[in-house]
Amino acid sequence: MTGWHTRPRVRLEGLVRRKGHQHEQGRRPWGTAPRCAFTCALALVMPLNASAQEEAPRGEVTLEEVVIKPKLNVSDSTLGASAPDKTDLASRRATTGDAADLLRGVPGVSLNGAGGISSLPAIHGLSDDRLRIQVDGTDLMPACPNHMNSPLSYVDPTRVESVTVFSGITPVSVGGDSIGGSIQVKSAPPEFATPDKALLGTALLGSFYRSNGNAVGYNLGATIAGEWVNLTFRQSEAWSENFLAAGNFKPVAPGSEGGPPIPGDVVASSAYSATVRRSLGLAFQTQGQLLQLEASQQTVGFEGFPNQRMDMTSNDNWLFTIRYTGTFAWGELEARVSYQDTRHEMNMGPDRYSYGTGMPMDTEAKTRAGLLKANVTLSDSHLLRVGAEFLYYTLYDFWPPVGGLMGPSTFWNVDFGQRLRADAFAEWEARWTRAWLTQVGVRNDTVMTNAGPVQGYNALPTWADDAAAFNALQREQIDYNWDFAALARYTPTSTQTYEGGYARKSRSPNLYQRYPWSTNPMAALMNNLVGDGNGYIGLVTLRPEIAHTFSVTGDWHDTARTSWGVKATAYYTYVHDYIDARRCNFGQCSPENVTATDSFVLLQYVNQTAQLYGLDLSARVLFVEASWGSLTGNAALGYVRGENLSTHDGLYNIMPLDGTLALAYQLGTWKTTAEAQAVASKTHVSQVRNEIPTSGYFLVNLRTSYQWKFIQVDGSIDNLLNRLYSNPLGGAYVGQGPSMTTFGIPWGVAVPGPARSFNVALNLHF
Amino acid sequence: MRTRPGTKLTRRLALAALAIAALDGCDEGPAILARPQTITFATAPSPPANQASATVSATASSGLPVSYRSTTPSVCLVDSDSGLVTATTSGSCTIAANQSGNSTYAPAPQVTQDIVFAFFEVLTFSPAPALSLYDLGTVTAVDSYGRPVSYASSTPSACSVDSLTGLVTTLSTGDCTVVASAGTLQATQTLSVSAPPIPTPPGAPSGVSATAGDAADVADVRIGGISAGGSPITGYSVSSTPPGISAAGAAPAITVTCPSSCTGYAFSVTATNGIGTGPPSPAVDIVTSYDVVATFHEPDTQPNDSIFVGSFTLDSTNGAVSNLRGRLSEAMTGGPTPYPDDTMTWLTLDHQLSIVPVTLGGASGFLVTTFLLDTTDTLSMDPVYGGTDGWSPGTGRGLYYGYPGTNPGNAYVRIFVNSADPLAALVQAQIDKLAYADCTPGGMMGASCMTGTTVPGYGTAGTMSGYPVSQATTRQ
Repeated sequence: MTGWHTRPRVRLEGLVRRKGHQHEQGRRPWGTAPRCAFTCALALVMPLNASAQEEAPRGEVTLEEVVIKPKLNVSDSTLGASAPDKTDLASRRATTGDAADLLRGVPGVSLNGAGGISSLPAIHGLSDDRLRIQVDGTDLMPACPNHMNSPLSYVDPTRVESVTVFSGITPVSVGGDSIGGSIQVKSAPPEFATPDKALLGTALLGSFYRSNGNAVGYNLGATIAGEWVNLTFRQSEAWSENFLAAGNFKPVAPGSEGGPPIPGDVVASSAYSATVRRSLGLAFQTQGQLLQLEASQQTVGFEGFPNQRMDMTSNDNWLFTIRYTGTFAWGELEARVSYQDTRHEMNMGPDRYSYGTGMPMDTEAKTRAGLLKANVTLSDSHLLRVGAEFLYYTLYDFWPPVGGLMGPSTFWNVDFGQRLRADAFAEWEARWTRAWLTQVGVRNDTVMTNAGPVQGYNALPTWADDAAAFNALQREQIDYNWDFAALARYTPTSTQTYEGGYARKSRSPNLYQRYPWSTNPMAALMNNLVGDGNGYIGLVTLRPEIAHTFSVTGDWHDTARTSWGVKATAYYTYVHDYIDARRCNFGQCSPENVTATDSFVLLQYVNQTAQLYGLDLSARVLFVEASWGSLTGNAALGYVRGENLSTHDGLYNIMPLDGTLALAYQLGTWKTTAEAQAVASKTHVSQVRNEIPTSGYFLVNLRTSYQWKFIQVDGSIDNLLNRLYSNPLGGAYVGQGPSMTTFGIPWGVAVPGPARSFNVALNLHF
Repeated sequence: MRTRPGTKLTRRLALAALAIAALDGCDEGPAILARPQTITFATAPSPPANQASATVSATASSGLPVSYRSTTPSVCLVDSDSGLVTATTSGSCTIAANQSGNSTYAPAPQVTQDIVFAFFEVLTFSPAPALSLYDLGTVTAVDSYGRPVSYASSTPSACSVDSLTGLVTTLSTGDCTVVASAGTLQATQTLSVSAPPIPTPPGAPSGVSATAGDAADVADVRIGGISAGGSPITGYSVSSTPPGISAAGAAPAITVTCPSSCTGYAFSVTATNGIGTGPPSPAVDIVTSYDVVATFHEPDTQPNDSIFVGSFTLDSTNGAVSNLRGRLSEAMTGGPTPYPDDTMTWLTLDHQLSIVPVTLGGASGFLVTTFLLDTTDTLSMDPVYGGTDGWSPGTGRGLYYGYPGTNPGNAYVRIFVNSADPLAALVQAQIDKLAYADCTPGGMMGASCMTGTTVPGYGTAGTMSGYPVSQATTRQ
């Protein structure tokens, strides 16, 4: 199989079917036949393959067809991965300011409610730090006792080109320090001018409007690129007023001391404003090498959190990234360093009691991370991925004095918190036959956490006793975490694929699970990562969570994957030392805190044992395809159950049974979708948290999208029937009133879902 | 996997972390070093008897200034900066020294020092009444510590004396010696009992008092003295104003039973001897003193609650409540030991400035409020913040009076007095109307005062979720 450049038509059986063009002339880059074949495949799947670009002849011919045995993907692993539909992704990103919204519809993924741009994705009931969320390969770290500035909140949705979700058996090369899966969000790779053009210039401009909350946003960008250099600037901004539920879900009452009554259907503290994300990227390419330098900034003027007791009144995040990728004869090399600097402020927003002075809570964090990773082609059938990473995170969480008993000193929630992670992994992927593919990987994460001594507002026992007890503790902890993953894929025919595997995954506690120290309710209530309205106290001696996951997937479809398809995934995860919570019965916690069933409570993190299991089903069928368009049906069903095996309690924020039916009509670039979503009532709740049950509901959504030349127009109606419902993952409503105390806000109101909204977006690409 | 603290590898990782931090040029490290510090008191002063002031001195090992506060404000107060202690009564005064720390030092553990103030124990008799044989009169001795005084006759052949009231009954002419006792202190007073005059009907009883009895329909009427008219008193009769109730007895203390309640009645007493019946005494109201303890549960400051320990006087005849005063604890200032062995700061409230007649839970009574300062200015009266009159419970959104200006630092407690039956257990509707507000430094969070109210009573719970749970009233 020599002379690949003279074989015009290429078909990658089982992988890619593609009719394209190939260069007429060129030299064989690596000399040997197998490598040549590999490169041929690589040339088609790697947009930045230097051989193809550097040696591109000026003339083109139509290639002859050639059949090539499927090759391993030398790039990052995609085994066990899923992704949202490209068309849906484009439509969603046009009308949202929340990048996590882009994950809707991915099997096994749900979204925990938070702020308007800060939803927290969950995979099979595991969310937040239990997932590894990377943006263009970089781990972005929250810096807030409520995780308000979650990783995806830093991301401009309109920049997102692809989202990859590893929800089952996560390969160790894309996992690490997580037990629930991995989410990789990537922006479009830099474009370069082709050799026949001296300069490439593109621009884009877009805007959206959502009627519910009067949310508006814009995005703009420009790229200027030569054959070797690319300079890209992007900026987006979004605002929203408080959104409305489809009916009264709580009494009319003033939110703040001097504020007007807030109507019963207004979800207070859900507004956001001045959420600016901008980035400037510079990229160089040559000879199969790509060097990217990027500086990005995210600033938030205000973001309300209806399920937290404070709001984000300012966030300023800077991220600097240098990334190198090189393609060599032996494979691919990636090196990356990043530096993230976050300054975050919380306080009482306009819908809450300010207590006259507000309650400022400030956070400063820095994250330095680095990666060196190689994907080494051992042979046509064997690939080795090896890598090493580090991430060093420092955190200062301090609450300036405001007077009275909250002064005269600064309250230090976490002083010089440190989390240093050093990882190494190796992953072997092998294609044994045309039908069998296996992947085995092992990974070690060494995680060190520490925090400095703390102090309260003053020397009164209310603050000083807990501080003294904390300061006397050995706070430095080191965890040696081992991950292992084994996955096999069996493709007996072109119409069916089966995957199955086992993974042992580990995650060390984050700083906010180990180090918040005060049992004073006011202080504890401000430490809450899950939006349940309760207060949390850390436990220094928390152990890492270790998850054992078994997962099997069956995928049946027509050969071309165009007419029909059914996919089912079943999974079971047993989590040793699962970090759940227990009622606080020490310090300043009251006796009734232990037994309360209808109030907010104070909790302490604790290691227990848990299991999660469930099923994801999805199906697609093309009903008709004709000159007037095509009609496609999609269905999805998700079921997950989480149980604490130590207490036989339910796990918190587990999505109830939910299903979606969608009918899509497409004619050219015009696509219209009608979607019906049904969600069962949530009755299996976390009793230790007094989690609020929610009722089932049924929603209808409409979406349409049309693209014409450089214009894309999107329109949608969410919640067409204007149903009032409680978001089962929305948390407890504590968005208005005196939120500083345990009983200041009535317990039992769940954050509702939004009322009907008419949405429209216009995007121009030049 | 292993989790363990403090290994060599940890140190290496920490050094690596710091190296990484150094590479980016950041100034890393704890913002507060939180070095431990301790406070040491100088030798406790021993003020001589009758000296009302002393100065305590404590130093922190950090060299930072120490602040002082009294944990026994009923005994003494202290200047927070200078340590000058001023005693208000004899007793053990406890001063706590604190150092809040700074960017280098952690807050120091609080230490305390006790100072004993002793004022001369004085048990002073009022002038002795002039008594003839068969007369009754009352001797009164006052203890400088305010302790209860008991009486006894050391001349039992000449006179007897009621141990509680000091009512002397003459039995023979000559010297009658009464011994008053308070604690270990004793004092004596000798009355010279003269020969009886020519018999006449007795005079009007003097020093008549009426107090509520054990039940609402019972009153106890006592006389404080009488000129017997030279003939032994054979009986007393009590009549009411308005008329309709009467009682009679041989002793100078008569229990009166009213039809359903004695509320609204005043009583006068006449005495009878062998010659006849004397004139009536002026009618007196039923006036009773009570102790009261009101508790406001503070779910966010456990194990400490806001507790009011005080007293008041109820005039059941005209429905007047007076002299509500007492101490209010500041729950946020306390340590892990609950009341009564607590370390909370206590405020002294002795300005009863409000009494509001109400009917709650089917009972008539009064909502009575006593303040720290001689003004009701406590909570914001700005309508923007839901303010009204500057203090009413549930108003002002808990912000202090004059916000955002200067805080006068007032505090108050409101209790319920059942005018017909002050000892009756409160029902929930009455408990719901109890309230407190504390806008002193020990009750402030930002510009918000700690308050205790209920939603049924005032439309809102306290600013720190505090709410009343009980009020116990006992007769003194």
